[in-house]
Amino acid sequence: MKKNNAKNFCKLSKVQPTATHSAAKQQLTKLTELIAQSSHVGKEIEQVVASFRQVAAPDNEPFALSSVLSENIPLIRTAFEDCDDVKFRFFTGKGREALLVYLDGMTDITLLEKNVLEILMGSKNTANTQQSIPIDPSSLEKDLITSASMTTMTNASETLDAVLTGNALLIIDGINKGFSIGSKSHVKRAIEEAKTEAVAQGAHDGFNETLSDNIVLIRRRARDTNMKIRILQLGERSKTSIALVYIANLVKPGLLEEIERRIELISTDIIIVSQTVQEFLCEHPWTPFPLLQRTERPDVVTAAIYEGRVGILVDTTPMALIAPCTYNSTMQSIDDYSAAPVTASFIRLLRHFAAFISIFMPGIYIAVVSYHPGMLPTSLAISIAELRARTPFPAFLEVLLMLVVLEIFQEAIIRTPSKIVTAASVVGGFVIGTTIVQAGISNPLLVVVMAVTAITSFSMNYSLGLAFRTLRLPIILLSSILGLYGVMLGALAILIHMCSLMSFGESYIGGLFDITLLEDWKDALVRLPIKFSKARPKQYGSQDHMRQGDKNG
Amino acid sequence: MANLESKNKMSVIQLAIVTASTCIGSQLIIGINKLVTEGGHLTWLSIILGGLLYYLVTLLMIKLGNEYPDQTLVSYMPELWGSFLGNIVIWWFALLFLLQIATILTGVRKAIVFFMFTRTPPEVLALGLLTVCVYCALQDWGTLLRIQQFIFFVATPVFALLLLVSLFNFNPENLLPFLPKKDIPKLLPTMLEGWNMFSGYEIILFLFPLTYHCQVSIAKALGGAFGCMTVAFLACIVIAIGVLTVNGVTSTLYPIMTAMSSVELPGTFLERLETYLVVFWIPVVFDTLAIFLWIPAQVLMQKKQYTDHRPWVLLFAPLIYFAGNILDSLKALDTADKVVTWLGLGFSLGVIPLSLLLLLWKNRGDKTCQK
Amino acid sequence: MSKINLLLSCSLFSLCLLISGCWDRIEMEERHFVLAAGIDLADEGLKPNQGPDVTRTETFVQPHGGKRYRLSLQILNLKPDGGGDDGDSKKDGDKKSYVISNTGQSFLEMTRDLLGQDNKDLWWEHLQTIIISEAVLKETGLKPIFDWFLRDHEMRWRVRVFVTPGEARPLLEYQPPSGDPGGIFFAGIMQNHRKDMHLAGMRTDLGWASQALDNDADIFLPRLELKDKVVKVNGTAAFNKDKFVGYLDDYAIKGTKFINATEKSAVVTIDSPDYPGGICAFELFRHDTRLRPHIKDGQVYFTLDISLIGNMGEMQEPVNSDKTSDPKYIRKLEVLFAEEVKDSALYAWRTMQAMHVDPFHLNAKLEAYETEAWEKLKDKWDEIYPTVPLVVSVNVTIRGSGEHK
Repeated sequence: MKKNNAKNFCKLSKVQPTATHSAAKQQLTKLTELIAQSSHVGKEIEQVVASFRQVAAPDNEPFALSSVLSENIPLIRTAFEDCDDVKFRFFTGKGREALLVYLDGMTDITLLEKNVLEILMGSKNTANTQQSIPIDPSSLEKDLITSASMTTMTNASETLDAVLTGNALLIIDGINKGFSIGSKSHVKRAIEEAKTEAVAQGAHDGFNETLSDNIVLIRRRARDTNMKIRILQLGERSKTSIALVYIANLVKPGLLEEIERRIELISTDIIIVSQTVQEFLCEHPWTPFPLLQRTERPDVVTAAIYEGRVGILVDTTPMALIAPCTYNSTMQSIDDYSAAPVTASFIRLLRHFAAFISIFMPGIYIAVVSYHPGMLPTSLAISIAELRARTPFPAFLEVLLMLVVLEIFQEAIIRTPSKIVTAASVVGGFVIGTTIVQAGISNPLLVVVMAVTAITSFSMNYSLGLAFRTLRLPIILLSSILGLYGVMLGALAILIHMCSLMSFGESYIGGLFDITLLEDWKDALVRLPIKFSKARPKQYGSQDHMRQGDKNG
Repeated sequence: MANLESKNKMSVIQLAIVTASTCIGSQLIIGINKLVTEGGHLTWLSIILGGLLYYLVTLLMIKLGNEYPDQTLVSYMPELWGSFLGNIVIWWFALLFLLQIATILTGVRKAIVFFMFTRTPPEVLALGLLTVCVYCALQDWGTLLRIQQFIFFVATPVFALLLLVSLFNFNPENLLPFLPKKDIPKLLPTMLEGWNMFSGYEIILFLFPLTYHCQVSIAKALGGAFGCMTVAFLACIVIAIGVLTVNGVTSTLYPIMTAMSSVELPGTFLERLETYLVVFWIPVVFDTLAIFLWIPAQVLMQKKQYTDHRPWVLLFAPLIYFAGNILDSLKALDTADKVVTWLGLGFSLGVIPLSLLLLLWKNRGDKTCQK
Repeated sequence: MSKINLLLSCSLFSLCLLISGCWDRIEMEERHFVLAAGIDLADEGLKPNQGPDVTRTETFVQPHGGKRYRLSLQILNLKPDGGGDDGDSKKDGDKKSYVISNTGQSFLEMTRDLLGQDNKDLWWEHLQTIIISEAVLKETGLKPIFDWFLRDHEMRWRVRVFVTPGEARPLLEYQPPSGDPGGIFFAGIMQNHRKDMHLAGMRTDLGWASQALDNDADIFLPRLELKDKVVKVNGTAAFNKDKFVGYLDDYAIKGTKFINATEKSAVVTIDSPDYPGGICAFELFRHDTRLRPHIKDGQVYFTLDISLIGNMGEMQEPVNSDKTSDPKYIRKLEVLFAEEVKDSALYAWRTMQAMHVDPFHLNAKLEAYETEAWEKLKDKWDEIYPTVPLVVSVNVTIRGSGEHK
């Protein structure tokens, strides 16, 4: 209605230039009266509507936005009470009261100044200074605000969210809507090398803590419209963004829906680390094995989604999750693909051997030394016995002691400030390593055994290495009761456990030694040259099996 | 597509692998002495003939299975034999496995105590192995299948490799004479005794509906499995006799172990190779026991119409443990072995052919009715 | 709640296992390695100047059996160089090993009573050598002595067994010049049997010997002799079943090894054909040996075909007389070497026949190749054996003449 009035007014001066002054004046007074009346009526209606809205604010909304700015202000202020980093900027733009709310430090102020304040407040030389700003939200978006990212919001919670994510909130008197103006700009870590997954010859960029950057890192690796990124919010209070990354025409049927279903079931208030999400998503929370693959590397995620898997990126953590995950996929490294196939196969086998050592070595030591010393050649047995004759503890206690020392040492190195790490390693490595032998607490052979055990667990994926470290203790207990027999029983129990694990319906050991998945063996324990592995791994059940020649994609 | 939809099904080749790895088990070490004592120089021939005989039985089983696709014997045996006799057949089938676990467990724990321990009570060793087997049998078929394949491709080859090391002391002359006439009458009893080596192929009867058919015919695949088994048993027998002579084999309880312990690998740190062999024998025994425990639990689950087989596994475990303790004396074990052998032979050579005959007879009746 | 209970019971159970478990745990340093065992008659194998009071102290009261054997054990000293820096001359505690002994009849009982003389449990798994004195073997067979060693699970298959014409205990106390403990030293000597034709080392260890006893076969055991600080494996004791029959000289051992094809390398010497007083030696590298039974008109005979390939190892001949490039001369030597091998084989064959000992397992060969004939011969075999002829044909090929021409 107001719009029509304004148009009439404009037209009047243009259409009837030749009308008499008095007639015009008469008409004008009528009109002003009409306008006054109608605006009065309009205001009343608006207030009624606003009061209606107020009452009808839905349960999950803190309040409803009113078209009267002065009513909105206290509401917003209450919402942000004691949040001193929230800044309020009042101004009059195009004759209307307006308010800009933003978070100090998370918002690019120059951007706001350029795109909002300058335009709305207008330079003084503009002709119609008195002209009130058009209060139609669409024209505001279309004609005025020059920000690239702008959304209109009606819900109060959305507006609050917008402020908290770092966007600026613009509220204008007379409009019961809020405008979020994209101006996020917060401190973040630069793209650096992945800390826990260093590689020798692969790409060196790793994820950082910002979701949008991480998505960019993946996008940049494939110009594919089929790469879909779905962003969800998680955490009642933290409202952490989570991105599901997948290839629409490759992802295993049903997998995405299953992941979404499980994500919907997550009920928690805050997400700090991606492990929280992982624990909600996976089927067996009691296992030490990582049932979702965790990686810091965008190339790993990209490769995974092109195998028909789904990547889950969590904002504020550099660790992305990949589902489903198999033991084998965790054991692989991107370096396997940058080395020659023969070398890579050799290294892969070595890594599996290292995994074996890292679980079983201390157990085997106990078993051989205190249960089956006959398995040693006589000369070796004599030299070990001579070494052990100087130490007071039985092998089991000796190993336990060394294991505890080793674990504490590893933990200490991670927690130590980087400047003291050298000092800590000197203390741990040299001082403890040699003096523990000289003091007669442990024998040199055991030090060697423990050192090898520790080294081997570093040679693979960090979280898998942790799992293996956890498994050491039960094996040690078993071997100290039943010797090698106990070790074998332990190995069988681990095998059964690993075979029974499922990651999103896929077996955790995957196609390992599965005869029906013979094709997958080409890129499992060993890696055949790329030209032989033309197919995607069957075990992930991707929609399109062949890698080459899927033109219709 | 091999993903979550069909995790509990298996291909024909997998069936063959499961059959082979189930049948190749404890008898490699504890069964050779008995067999050679029975068969003398002709044991090799009786093992080959035995393989053929039990393969024939397997073919009959396949025929039976083809007549009732998607059904296990629990549902079709009562149909075939009538409810009373059918139940007897089903119980026979389940009991066969349970008794075998008890005897195998007892034999195995004896061997392990002998080679790895002295004072550790054998009950504890049996309990340890049984616990692992129960844990395994509590899982679903998909898990079991993966475990079987893993063991078949990892533990069994290591075991075989270790076994081949004893070829260092192999003297082919010990195998002569190849075909002594005086041993020919022993051929048949040795073949029947050989059931102990091959026992376990009966699982096919139950696993048949879990198999999806592909290009490879099931008879061919199982033929491969039987070939594999025969070669394995033959290798053990030939190695034992070749190293120790027939007299030597009959005078030692665990000939393969003795043959292993005679091996000297100069320049390596490996000593007491028989201990290594025992260690890698454990998984080979384990997969047999796990399947043997899983099958009767499943049979009873279907029979009693439970939805879960796990209570049955947990019920069987203590029973087997105590049965094993009762069988501890040599004589009891021997008797139990005989009982199991006759039960097994009765099932394989009696029940299976009779069932098939019954089926043919009934079918003929059906056809005349239709006409 | 139920989960906590479960956890509690699980941990209790594992605690029980931990406490009651470890039945077989042996810490190596809590055991004393027995490296060698010597078996003498009870009144032999004494220490020099050992009085009857010491002998009485060493033994125990026995309700059954008699004081028949003296068992001496060589035990490894785990801390041999504890006082090495002091520069003192070797005290008793500094030696690599020490010897303790006991008398009685049951070996198991003696080993347990020996614990009264040692501060740690005895551990047999690394036993290397058993030395039996000839005097013992003249009184009893091998079987009663072997029995305990075979039954005990800690024994290895490859324990070396020696027979000594003297006493066993002095051999255990002998300190080898290499510094190794005696048991390891003696066992190590037998490892050289592949190169030394005078060592009968193939299949003469505890395991094979017992295997042979099980098969009613005759066995050899090497003879170990100590003469005033000189130790040598010198000849072989021959056994008929488990009865000691006598010793074989080195030349007969060589012949047996040729017949049994247990040589890996061998040296054959002949007098130089062209230069009296000179000698030629042939070094064997590869051989192919075949011993086969034949029966013709009810008469059993064996054929032995040996073909040997090797080098000229040594030629003690005058200066500038080397004829190794002369094929005729080489041919001549080959024939002579073959003749020599044949002689040695026949010597061994006749010696064994005279002793009534069959180390070639001819009965097994007959059973393997001539099964039906064997069934008839079986009962008379003991009478037939000494008369069975051996037909030897040897073929020697000299492949090279060594580095020097």
